[in-house]
Amino acid sequence: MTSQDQMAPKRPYLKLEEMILNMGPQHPATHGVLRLVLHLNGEMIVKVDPVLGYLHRGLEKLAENRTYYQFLAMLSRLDYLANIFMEWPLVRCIEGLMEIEVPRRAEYLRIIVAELNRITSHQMALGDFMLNLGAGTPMFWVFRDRERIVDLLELLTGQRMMYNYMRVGGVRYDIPEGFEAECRSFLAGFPAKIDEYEKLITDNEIFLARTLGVGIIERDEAIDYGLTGPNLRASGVSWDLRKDDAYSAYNDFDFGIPIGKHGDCFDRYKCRVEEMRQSLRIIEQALDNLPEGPVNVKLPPMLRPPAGEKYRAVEGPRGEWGNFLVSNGGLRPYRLKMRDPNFVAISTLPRILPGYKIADMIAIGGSMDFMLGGADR
Amino acid sequence: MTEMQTDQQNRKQLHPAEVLELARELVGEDCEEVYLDDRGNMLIRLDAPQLAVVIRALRDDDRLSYRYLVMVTATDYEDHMEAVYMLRSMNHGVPVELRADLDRDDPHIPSLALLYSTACWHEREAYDMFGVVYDGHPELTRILTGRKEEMYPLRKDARPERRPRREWRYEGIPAALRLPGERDRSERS
Repeated sequence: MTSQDQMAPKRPYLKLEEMILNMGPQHPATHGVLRLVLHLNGEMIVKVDPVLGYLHRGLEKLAENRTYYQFLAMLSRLDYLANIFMEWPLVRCIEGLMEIEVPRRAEYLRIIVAELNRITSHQMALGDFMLNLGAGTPMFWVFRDRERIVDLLELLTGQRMMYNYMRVGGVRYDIPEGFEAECRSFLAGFPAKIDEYEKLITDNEIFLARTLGVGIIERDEAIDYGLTGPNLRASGVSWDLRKDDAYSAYNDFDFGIPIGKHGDCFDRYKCRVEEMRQSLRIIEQALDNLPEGPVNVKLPPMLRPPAGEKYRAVEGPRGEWGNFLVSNGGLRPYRLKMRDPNFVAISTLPRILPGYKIADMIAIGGSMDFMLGGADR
Repeated sequence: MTEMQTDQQNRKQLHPAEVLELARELVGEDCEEVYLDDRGNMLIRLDAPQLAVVIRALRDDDRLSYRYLVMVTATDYEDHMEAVYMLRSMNHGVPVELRADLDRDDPHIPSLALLYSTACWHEREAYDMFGVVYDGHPELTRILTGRKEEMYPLRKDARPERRPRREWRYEGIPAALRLPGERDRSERS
C-alpha cells in the first residue's frame, strides 16, 4: 500500500444503479405529447428512448379517402404553428402533376403569407424555448407581437390559425383593402421588437450559461441525420430550399441565410432570430413589387390530376416539409407520404442527449423546436 | 456567432445531364434504368438486393455526393409494392429518387441504417405502415402505431375502421403490482 492510498479519504461505498424516468407524455417541455424514456445515472442521461405516436391521427390514410380540397382543409392540423407550410407542398404536387402555371401575383401572396407565418412560428419557438428555461417574460412579449401578425393573417385569409388559404393554381383571396398599410406599419415597427427580444435574451448571463456549448451537433452529423431548417444551418451548413431549390418566386428576392458556427443551442436560437429579420425583408420586397393580375386560375371544382408521382418540398420554419403524391388519375390521392422535419429532429435525440443532464435536455429540446403534431401525423 | 450568407459559396452547379452521365457511369450496371424526368430530377429503378450497393456508391462519390437522405417510404399497388427513396446532394441541385419493386407477400429490402443515421427511423415508419422488412436494421419495431397493432394500416386492404372497438374497463391494480396491504380498488363500492 502506497502512502498516497493511505492519505485518500475513506468514502462510503455508494451503490450506483440506472434509474428509468418517463418524461412525458404530459410534460410541458416536450412540445406536445412526446414520451422520452430516460435512463439516468444520477442526473446524467445514459440512454434515451423516444416514444412517439400519441398524436398519430393517420392522416396519410385519411388522405386516401378524401378529395383533394377536402383534405387540404385538414392539413393545417398537422403542424399547427406553421400551417401554410403544410398546405403548400401538396398544392405544388398537384400543380406539378396537372402542369398548371401559377399566376405571379398568387406566388407573391403565397410568399407573403408564408413569411408572416414563419415569423409567428419562430416567435413561438423563442417563447417556448425561454419558458422551458424558466424565463416567463419573453413568452408574453412574443404573444403581444404575434397578435399583430395573426390579425394580419386573419385579414388576408379569414382565419387566425387554420388558414386553408392555398388553392391549386393560386390562393383563395386577393389582398383586402387596408392590408398593405397595416402590413407596412407592422414591418416598420417589428425590427425594434426583435431588438427588444435580443436585449432581453441574447446577453442574459443565465441564458448563455445554459445554451453556449450545449447540445452541439457537428456539421457532418447534422447532414447524416437529415436535419433541415435552422437546426441544420446552426451547424454551419448553408442549405435552404428557398435558395437551393428556388421554388415559387423566391428567385426574385434578395435575402440572406443565417448560418451558425458551432451547432449548439445558442446558434439554433440565434439563427431563428436572424431568420425573422430576413423574413421581414422578403415581405417588404414582395409588397413593393407585388405584380398585378389574377390570384387564381380557373379549374373544375373536382380535381383529377393525371396518373403519376411527384415529390415537392418547401422550406418551413422547422425544415424541409415535403409531400410525395401518387395519383392514379382519380378524385382522391392514391398515396400521400408526408416527410416531416420534426420526426427527423426527434430521431437525433438518442444521439445527442446521452452525457447531458436533465436540465440540459430541456434546453436542447427547446432549441430544436420540434412539434409533435407534425411528427406523429 | 452567426454569419450571413447571401449567395451559395463553394457550390458547383452541375447540369442535370452531367449528373445523369456521372450516375450512369457509376451505378448504371447495377440498375435497371437511370433517367431524368421533365423537371430535371433523376430517377433510378433497380432490383431490391442492389439497393445498398447503389446508394453507397452515390453517397461516396465526390462529385455526386448524395449525402442527405430525405425520405424512405413505400407505395402499395395492390399487386406489388414499391420502395421509394429520395436523396439530395449538397453539391448540386439534382435530387434522385430510387424505386425498387417488392413482393407484396414477403417484402424484403436491405436496410440503409448503417449508411445514413436518419434511415433508422424512416425505415421503422415504413415497416410500421406497410410491413416492409428492412434486412439488417438494428431495431425494426413499430414507431407511430402502438406495440399491439396487428395490421399494416397503409396497405390498401387494411381497414382500420373495421377493427373491433375495445371497451375500456378499469380492472383494478394487478395483484403483482399491489403494495403490501393494498386492496384491489375495483372492489370498492
